[in-house]
Amino acid sequence: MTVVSRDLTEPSVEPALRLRHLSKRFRVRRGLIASLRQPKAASWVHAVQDVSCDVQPGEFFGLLGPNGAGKTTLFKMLATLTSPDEGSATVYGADVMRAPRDVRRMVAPVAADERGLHWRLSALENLRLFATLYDLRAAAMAARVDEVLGVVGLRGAEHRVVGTYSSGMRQRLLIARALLIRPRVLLLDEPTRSLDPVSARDFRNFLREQVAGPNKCTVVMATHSAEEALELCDRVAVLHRGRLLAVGAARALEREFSDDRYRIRTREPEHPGWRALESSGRIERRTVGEMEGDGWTPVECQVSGGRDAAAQVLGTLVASGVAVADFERVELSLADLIERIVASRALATAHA
Amino acid sequence: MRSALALIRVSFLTAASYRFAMFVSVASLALQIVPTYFIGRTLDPFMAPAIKGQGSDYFGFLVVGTIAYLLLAASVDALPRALERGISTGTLELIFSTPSSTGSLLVGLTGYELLWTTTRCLVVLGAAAAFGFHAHWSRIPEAAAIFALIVATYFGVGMIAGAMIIAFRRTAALQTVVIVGSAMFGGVTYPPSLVTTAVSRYSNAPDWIGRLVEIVPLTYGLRAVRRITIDDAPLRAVLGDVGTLGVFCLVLLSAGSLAMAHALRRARAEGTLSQY
Repeated sequence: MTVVSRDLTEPSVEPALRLRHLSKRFRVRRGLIASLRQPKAASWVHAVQDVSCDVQPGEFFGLLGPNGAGKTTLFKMLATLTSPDEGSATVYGADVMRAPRDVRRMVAPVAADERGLHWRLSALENLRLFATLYDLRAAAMAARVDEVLGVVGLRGAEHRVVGTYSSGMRQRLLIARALLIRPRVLLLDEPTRSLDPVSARDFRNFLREQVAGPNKCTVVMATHSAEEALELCDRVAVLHRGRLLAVGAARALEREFSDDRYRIRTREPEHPGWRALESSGRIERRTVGEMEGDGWTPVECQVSGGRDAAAQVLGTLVASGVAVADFERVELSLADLIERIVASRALATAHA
Repeated sequence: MRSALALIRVSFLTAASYRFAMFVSVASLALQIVPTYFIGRTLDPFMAPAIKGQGSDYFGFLVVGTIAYLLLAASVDALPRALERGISTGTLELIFSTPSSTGSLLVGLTGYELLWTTTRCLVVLGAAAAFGFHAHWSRIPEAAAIFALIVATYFGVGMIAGAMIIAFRRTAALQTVVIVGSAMFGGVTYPPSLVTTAVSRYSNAPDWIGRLVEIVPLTYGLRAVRRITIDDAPLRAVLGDVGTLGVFCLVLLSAGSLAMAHALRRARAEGTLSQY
């Protein structure tokens, strides 16, 4: 099992984002007594360490990793709210340190929570404020505000005070605010965290259909959701303790790190056909679960050799008279995927 | 400039959504004139010698002092309070991620509070006029210019307090010290000369306490405004006070700007711009 190589290619077109050896560390706050005992001692937490990668224009790019992996710090550096200690980050060629105002004209950050809205004002007033702060001309403002309200499905509710909105509506308003400037890069930090499953699904559809596609907007999204990573993102990056461990298409990563495990529901988990498959090496690591209420028992096993081999195993089982109800590949959860990438990387480092 | 105006408008709309608080704020100020009038009239015979050269009318003296106090309190407190509110609601981080300049954002965050305080000062002035406050109304533009200089001077202190909010989330009571200290030594309700006299005559306190009045910018601003509006003194008679106030203004605004720039740089380096 190998970690997917980091993406450090130098394409001919200017990447939307170019990160090179980007690092950020924060001093760990100490208690009064510890500070008095050792006034000069300092400990640091490395939030982002030596991260290098490119994100191409129009790409939907996911950032995966456990809490504290460095995703939000990375976002804040791209939004010019936190300055990097080392390395560089550019947005369409504009450096976040040397040309922060140029970067702010192109990048729109959206946080997961609903902070940042003026709750006692209407959605319209909130959008007008940010349209002005982003220097939208007065003549174009009304039309643009109306347009983004339509895009996020809030037209008709624009005069309502934001405090009366549902979480989903407020999330949409945050997106509308970000879309006002037709951002070239949209930074979404766990955008569906406060949404119910149905609203989250609608929101993903909305991102796919209204934001990424027609607007050709580059979207970078930090997420803990497997659906978002697998359904929306063209590529994902896995961060762990500030380090970039892998970059690649989510499905490719999943294939790389999954072990082709299948789940079969059968009435005969101890049929001789199973042992024949095991002795021939076509299935491995067979585990038999508890019989379910309807008399069917789940059996999990590993089938090496991809889908063709899986089809042959199914055929053999049926031919040998084993009653099979389901035969499905066990999807790797996002948590498992991250865990395996982290473990694999640790192993590679240990070997090195 | 558009950014500042947009932020002022939003602050106004937010404040206007608390209508009752707005009404009480104006009404209480108008009513405050009643006790001020009676206290002014009662103490007038005793205070007249002390306030000689700053208007012979103690009620007028108090009215000008009250207006100056309102403006100085707003100038010192508006920015740190706005930054504190922005940090706790999360709006600060977002406005700092827009391409608007830091200067226009800071003006926008505080502009409404200063305009609202100016309105409240006009209410005080109107109520005082109804109670017989006599001023040389033709000198109001010059007085307004000096008040603007007082506001700018104390805004410098507000910027230092704002920088402390960004850097440490606390101001170590800087605003309270400055506001209360200026009120006590700057001549809001009694002339600063009274402090010097009292210290030398009635206590064993060291002389330098009496000289504190000289390092309070309000002392110079208030004296100039009172001489212009109540005594109708010519502008050249107050040029010394206005010049001293101008120096304070330059020093404090420069110190405030440096502190704010440093605090923002530090907050970006430490990633604490929006931590609350």
